[in-house]
Amino acid sequence: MSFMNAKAWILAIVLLIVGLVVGYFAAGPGQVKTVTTTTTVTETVGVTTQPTKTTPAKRVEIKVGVLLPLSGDSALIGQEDLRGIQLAALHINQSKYPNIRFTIKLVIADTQTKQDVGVTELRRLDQEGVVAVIGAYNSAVTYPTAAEAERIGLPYVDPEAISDKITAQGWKYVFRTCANASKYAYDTLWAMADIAKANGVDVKSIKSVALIYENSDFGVFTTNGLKKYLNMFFPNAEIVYEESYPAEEVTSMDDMVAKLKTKNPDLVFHVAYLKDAVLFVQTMKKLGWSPKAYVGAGAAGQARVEFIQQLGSYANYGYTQTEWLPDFLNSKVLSKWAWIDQDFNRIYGRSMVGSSALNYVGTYVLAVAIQKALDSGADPGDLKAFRNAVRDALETTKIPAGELPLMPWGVDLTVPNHQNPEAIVAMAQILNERLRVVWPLEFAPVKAVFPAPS
Amino acid sequence: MYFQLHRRRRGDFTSLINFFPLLRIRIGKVTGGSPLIELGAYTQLLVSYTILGGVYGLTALGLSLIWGVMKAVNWAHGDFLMLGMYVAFWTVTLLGIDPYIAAIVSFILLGLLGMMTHIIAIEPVVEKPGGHEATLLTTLGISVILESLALILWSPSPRSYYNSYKNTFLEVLGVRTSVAEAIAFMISIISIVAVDQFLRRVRIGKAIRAVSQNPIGARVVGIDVPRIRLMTFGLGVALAGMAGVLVSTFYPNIRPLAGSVWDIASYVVVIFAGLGTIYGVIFAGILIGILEGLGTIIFSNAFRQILVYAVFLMILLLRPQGLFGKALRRV
Repeated sequence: MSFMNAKAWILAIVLLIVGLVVGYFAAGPGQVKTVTTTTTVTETVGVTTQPTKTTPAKRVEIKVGVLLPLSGDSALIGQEDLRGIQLAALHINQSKYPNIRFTIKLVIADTQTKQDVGVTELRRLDQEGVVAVIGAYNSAVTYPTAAEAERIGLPYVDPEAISDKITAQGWKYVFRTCANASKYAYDTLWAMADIAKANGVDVKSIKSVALIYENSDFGVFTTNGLKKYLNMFFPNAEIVYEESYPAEEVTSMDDMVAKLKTKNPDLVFHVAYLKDAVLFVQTMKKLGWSPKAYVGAGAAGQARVEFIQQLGSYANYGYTQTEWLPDFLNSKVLSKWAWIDQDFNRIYGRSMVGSSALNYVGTYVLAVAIQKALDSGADPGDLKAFRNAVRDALETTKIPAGELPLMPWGVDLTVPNHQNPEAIVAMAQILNERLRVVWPLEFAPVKAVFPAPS
Repeated sequence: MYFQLHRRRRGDFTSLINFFPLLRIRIGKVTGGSPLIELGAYTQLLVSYTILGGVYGLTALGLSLIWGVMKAVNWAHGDFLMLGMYVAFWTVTLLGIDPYIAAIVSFILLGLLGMMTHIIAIEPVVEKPGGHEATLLTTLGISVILESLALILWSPSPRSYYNSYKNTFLEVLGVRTSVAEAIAFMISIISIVAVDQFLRRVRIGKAIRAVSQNPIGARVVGIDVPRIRLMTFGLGVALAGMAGVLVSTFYPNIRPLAGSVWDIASYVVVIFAGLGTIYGVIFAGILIGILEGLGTIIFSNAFRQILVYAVFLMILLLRPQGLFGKALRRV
């Protein structure tokens, strides 16, 4: 009996080869990064900017691990994060910061946006002999990888993942330079209360709010924070409507907006990714209803440039949290850091965004701590002792506002949980189809429009 | 956990009562709170979810055709839909053409791709023993290849294009909808009628029906069955490609895995409708749309799938041939 004819065999082999080729490439850039672990930042992006002549002849080279989602669902943001880290390393290697006198060698690992891969890659970074790790964007990946770093005794700096639980464990080796989810929620309310007052609206007149959120950790934790602090800023406000939804599956938001229309809350807080944020605003326009303020909490979907691109003028007057916008550089305090964004612009053809800025800052803070460890006489050759020295240095790191690059806030990691209490999250409003910082008020080049025109 | 949250929300226990306005009027004082939605909003939501259901019907049409005629489940259906979305994105952003012209381009391109796929991966296995299972596996392979290629070529970053259709609204008797959704719904109806008429009146269409009903008999009367299968698969994929473009006009999510959102709905629609029923697809689509709407209106968003799949299970148990399919008689 003929099991399979020759033609079918040839087809099967062709398909197998195609599958293998596709599979190889589909593994994403992470696999390639794994091979090229010794690539230094100066080799990667240094061609665009010449090192300054003040570079000492011989400087200690320190390996720092970078753990990011460079493929998978969060690849886009992971790559943006990497740009921030690489630029910070480049500036350090070029002696742009006189207080940092060593060179960084980045060892890059890809989490593929997966927890198990993240943990495996962290172990590999440990074996590569990195003195500390920075990463890993997704809270769901940062949490288990930070736990593994704690077990190993490897200093871990989280510059962007915001889940509260990461710094709630009392871990000795884990430090967060950015705000946590509760602080994002707190700042959302703080910003909106300040904006209302600045526009002559009494916060007591805000009687009703609605909370809409995607139902992963990100949405749930941020919304829990909003519930916790709501009455601190809006004493008479009541949650009249609350709804969660699966961001990946949602195909229509008509029901939610119809219910909101009936409840007619003054403020709508929406924790969303891009697609659901766009769909929600589209549906509000379709059903002809809008609140006094539609506020994107958590600096996610509404903070993306695509949000405005897709909605056009319908995006106007919406608010969104943002970690960083070039508007900051217009302020007196922060204008001295404009050269960083100019360098970023030279390399990537556009300004930094929140992700790259946060990671730049995280790398800088880690570098300051490593320098402290070196200054204390710790020997980088004794890896275990040096890691402990870096950990100790991180624990005593305090950088006042104004001295920290790019950000209007400072860093204080001396607190027991290593959660920087000084980080704040700005609020932007979309005006003339452009994101403008409107809070903190002292860094806002324009005044917010509140309430939004109907 | 969910139920705890749910109970805390004021008015939610009354939501079932609120859904029936007459009942609420009778015991309005007892229930208290504001109604879950305004009375007028019911019409709005009914229309919105009917339109969404119509689009579900369109996304399921190609799948139904392939499943009904070839008795083969096309696991890559959602990925062809995704390719249609990208065709819309690239043609609109690069060539600046109208997305509805892109729908024609997508229909042709995806049709050709579908035929190519059929020649390479379906036809060699379809007539072998266990051919239907083999088809399922080969289409699963195609799905993985298409998704991986899309990730390599276009990255996981979601894309969309600005079009005035989705930001322009129609209002009829107080009911509003976007022009993009209204057009997608109309094209769904037109496509379904066109496919039905094609199957009834055009020679090839009649041959497709013959193959669907009795492939051996069709071969006996001289129909080139492999050619008909090729055309059916091509047409099914072409319809998926067109549906992808239409979805992209109002759904802001063009990315390599975007098809999965719509293909699950498509499988449910086809099973609801029953195999081989073209008009059934639109009615099943609308039914699912309305069920989703009811789930969310009466309860919450978490219930939308629960209600759909509860009815889905009931149909499988009580009427396995689908709502509009014909039962096979045991001889």
